[in-house]
Amino acid sequence: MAQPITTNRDEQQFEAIYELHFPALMEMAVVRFSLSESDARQLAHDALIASIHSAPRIVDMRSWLVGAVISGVTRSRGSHS
Amino acid sequence: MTKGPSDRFMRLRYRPDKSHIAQFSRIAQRIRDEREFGATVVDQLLRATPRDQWSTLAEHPDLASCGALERLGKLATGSFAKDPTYALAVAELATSVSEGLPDHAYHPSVAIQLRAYAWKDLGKAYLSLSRFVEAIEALKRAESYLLNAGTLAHDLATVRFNLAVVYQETERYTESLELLADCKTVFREHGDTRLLLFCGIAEGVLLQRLRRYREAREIYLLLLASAKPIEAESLAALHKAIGLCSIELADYPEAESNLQTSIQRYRELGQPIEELKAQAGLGRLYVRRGTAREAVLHLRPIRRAFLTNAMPEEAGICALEIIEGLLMLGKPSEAETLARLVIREFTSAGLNTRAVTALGYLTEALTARRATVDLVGNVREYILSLRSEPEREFTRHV
Repeated sequence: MAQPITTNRDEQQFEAIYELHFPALMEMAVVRFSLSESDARQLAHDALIASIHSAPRIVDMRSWLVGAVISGVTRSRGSHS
Repeated sequence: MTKGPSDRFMRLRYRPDKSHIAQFSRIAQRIRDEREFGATVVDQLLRATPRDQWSTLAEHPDLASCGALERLGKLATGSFAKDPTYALAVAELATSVSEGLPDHAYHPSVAIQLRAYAWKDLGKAYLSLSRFVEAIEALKRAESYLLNAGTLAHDLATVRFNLAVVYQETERYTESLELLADCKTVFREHGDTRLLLFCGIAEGVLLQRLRRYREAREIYLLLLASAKPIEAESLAALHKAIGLCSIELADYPEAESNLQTSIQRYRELGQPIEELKAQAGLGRLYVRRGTAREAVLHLRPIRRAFLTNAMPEEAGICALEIIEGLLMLGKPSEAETLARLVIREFTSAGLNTRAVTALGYLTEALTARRATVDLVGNVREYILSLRSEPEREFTRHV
């Protein structure tokens, strides 16, 4: 199986990515879509988790995450099939 | 990212959960580690195992990882055009591995993505082999994983984009257009200008298939004028498509300018086959414009180059353009000789026998000196249509 090759510095970088994007996603979910804080928190987290697998193909991480949150809200409200 | 007071307020107000950060970091680290390891292990295992035994690798523990699945995905994707049977074998292995992943091996969202991408690649492999029914089945399977995951809309749109492409091949044009419209919305929301462009090109291709050349060209021109940067390869393809539409619209100056640009760009990219295809488009333009001598002179070396590159069908299509030019020049005997040669080439290459039948009919007409430019065009269109409808019958009075 894969041997861990990630260093503490990598770990800090991943944490920094999360902390960088999370507040803006929260604000969008709460202010623009009127989600409760707990729903917004879960949605923003789901979007960030989804971005990990897609990361090599993402050009603009902020736009991608915003799109994931918008899609999450609209699909949960039944706007998308 | 702004760093003003409102940003500081936002950061203070919306602090992430420590457990969420830790989970994100843990998953990201694991996937990153697996990506490093996956490439090596997959390459070694595939090299060491005969292809007809790859199914036995499905339960190999070293393949049951995101990194290994991504590597298999890359190998399949890189082979769709060059070696589609190899791509299919790799994609089949990837779907088996993804289906065998233990429950809870990954975060549910990641597990969904892994399975959906494996099935998507299998669908694309079938598409590259023109096995459309199986391609649709595989892509539908990929879609089914993603339907209920709200934040995976981009992945769903990626799968549906491929489904839209397959639908075009099976003449399900309305469904294809609807899917492309939905995909565009999602890609736009995610700031994915690359796939947005691909959707636009797919829409244009569909309109071309429907012979709605003006609308297709409008789409291509809008894409070209977009402020977003376009990859060099897509740019070359767009110029070629605009050129080909312009020929059909009898807008020859626009056609020539765009085809020349496309040829130049493909040359710069070092893509000689694509350059040849654009050159063939230029030859077609000369025929349609009525400059038959120029067309014949231009197309002869293009046809030889297609043959040198083992592309007899493209060479045959090129020959039909030359035959059209020869008829315009009043040289039916030369046209007849060339048509007979193409029949031999098609036969020895084992191409669709229906194409040979159509060419035989054309040759008879040339021999009887009753072949017209329209008939040559019809035979050419018929042979091209066999790519998507290999069972279509040739109608003599098309």
